[in-house]
Amino acid sequence: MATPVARSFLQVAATEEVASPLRVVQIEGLVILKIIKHCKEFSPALVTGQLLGLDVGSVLEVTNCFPFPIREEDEEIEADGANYQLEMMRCLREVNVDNNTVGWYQSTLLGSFQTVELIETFMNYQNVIELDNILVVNAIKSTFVCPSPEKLDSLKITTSAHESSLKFRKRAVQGIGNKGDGCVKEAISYSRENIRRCVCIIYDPLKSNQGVLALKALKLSDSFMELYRTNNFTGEKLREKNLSWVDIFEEIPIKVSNSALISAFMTELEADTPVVQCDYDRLQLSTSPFLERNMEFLIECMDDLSMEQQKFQYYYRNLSRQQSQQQAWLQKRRAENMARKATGEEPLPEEDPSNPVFKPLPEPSRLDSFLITNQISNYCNQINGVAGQSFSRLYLTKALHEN
Amino acid sequence: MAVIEHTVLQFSTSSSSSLSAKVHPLVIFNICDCYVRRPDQAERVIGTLLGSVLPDGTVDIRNSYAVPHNESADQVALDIDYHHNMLISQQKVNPKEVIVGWYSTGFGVTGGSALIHEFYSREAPNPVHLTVDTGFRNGEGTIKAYVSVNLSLGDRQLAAQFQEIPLDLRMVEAERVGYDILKTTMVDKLPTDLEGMEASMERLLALIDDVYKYVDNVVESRVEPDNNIGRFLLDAVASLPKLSPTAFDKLVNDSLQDNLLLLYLSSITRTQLTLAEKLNTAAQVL
Repeated sequence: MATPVARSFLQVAATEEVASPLRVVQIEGLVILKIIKHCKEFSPALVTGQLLGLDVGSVLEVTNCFPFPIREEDEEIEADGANYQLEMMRCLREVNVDNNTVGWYQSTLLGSFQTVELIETFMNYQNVIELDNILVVNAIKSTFVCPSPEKLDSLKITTSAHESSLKFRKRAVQGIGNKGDGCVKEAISYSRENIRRCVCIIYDPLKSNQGVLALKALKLSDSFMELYRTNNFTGEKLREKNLSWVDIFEEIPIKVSNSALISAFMTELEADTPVVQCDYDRLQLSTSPFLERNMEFLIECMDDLSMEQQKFQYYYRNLSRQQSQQQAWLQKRRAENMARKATGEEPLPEEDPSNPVFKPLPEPSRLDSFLITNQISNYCNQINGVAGQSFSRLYLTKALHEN
Repeated sequence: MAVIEHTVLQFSTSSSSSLSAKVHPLVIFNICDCYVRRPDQAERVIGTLLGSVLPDGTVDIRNSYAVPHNESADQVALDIDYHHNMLISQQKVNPKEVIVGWYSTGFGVTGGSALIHEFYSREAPNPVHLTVDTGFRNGEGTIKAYVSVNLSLGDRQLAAQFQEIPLDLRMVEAERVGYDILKTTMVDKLPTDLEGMEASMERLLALIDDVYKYVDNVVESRVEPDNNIGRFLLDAVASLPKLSPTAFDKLVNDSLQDNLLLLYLSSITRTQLTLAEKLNTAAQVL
């Protein structure tokens, strides 16, 4: 009797494999306010938090979020942080909040977020999420294909191995342990609800003081992720993949949605005012502190970049020296071989792997310079944007004065 | 002569006369979201308000979370464990936010409110009770704040009276985000720097037009002049600093040149980046 059901479940599990590309991140106004509150209260310290929501086709809905406490370098506290996360998600689930992790948010200082840490966090999130999926699907498959107790035990062991995201696995194991139809269904619905993608939302409190809503949704591009997994950032690989620094991050357009109730309340509470705070912020004439800091960061980045360039120069110098050494060695060997031929002896092989001259030099990773380049172009964009705005302000003041 | 103790029916007021509350928009958003997501059978949602009491006695309500509860005809059961767990979690993030009261959706105070209020009185001194009318019962979303005043006869407590206190909606954060985004149910795209600037300019222009119209109307005596408005206009005009044209020109031109220089610099940097990228890839073809 169970076979037809099992097949359909398997089919369901199989159809999950196909994913449509992520096009839009849809954020609730509530989430925006929560992020802003958290980031502003702790500014200038940089803070992070978790995003919760649903993955619907090509839209990733972010319907709630919660902040993380400021992290401290201590193992005990780190474990505490993981507990906090589970506890918070459990609590929020109880009041019917979507409790699927869809990514995280973080505050930034003038957009200086493109770091190796960010990429690592991304990979962690992505791995945890994918692992969840695979485990749940496998759990379901294995129970139906071969519901032996040993299998279940092995499953429990693999699941307990990864402590960081217990939730889904626990559910899967529970569902299988009970072998109740309802539980398996629940496990499947978990795997279906489960998100394969995650985004990072970046909020810049300083930039927001200029009267713009400085929110950005980012994800790593697929090709970059593939490359990062193999951890191979040599020039050859990059050329092969045709990946340049622009292709590391993908910015995803943000949509904002509000429930009808909230929209009604906002309309009710706040009649149309002709002037709002962000108008004042936008018309503020002094932008020099903002620009100055941008320039400072830009200069720092340029220094870093030139350091990276020096590394490359050093590498190329060494490479060419090695090549000339190789040539010299080869010529010597050929001359020797000619001599040996003349005397009727066997020629020596033209290659000698044991010779240190042939040891390949490790090519420095390009990841750092890529990130720095990204950073620089970000600062350039910001400077351009702010300078453009101050032009319009200056002309406005001029016009006002002339009148 | 023995001192006669007067037994008086009195309200024990604890300086509640000057009490007022400030609510941040996030709290309203959170309450609405919880209400939308409430369980099937529930009529209303109840939750804890977090914030701080400012030195002048104003209660600053900055955050909130819902607490699951069960309600029957004359009984309200609050999930106290949940409340404490959530409080501990919230305080890990921001220890400065303490319990300042509780909220409930619905219009005004109901019978069960006194019980819940008593519970919260044990958690915080003089808690604030916020009601949000999510049902729009009288055609508008009424948000009200109350404090409880005990009605006692001597030492015996008779009843609790809920006294409304003034409520101030702090919309500055919401303004920074922009009402355009928060008011509608769906916004397809966040405004960029320049679009925002454009919107601000348009609003400014509209305001200047309004002022023009008003002044023209007054001058042609179509409208009764209002001295207050006149003073505001005078202030606005006077706020422009009086500068000699040469000094002003210099000021504007200097700023313009600074900005142009920055633009130039950033463009050069970009060109440099593209160039470096090309060179790097070219260098690989050995």
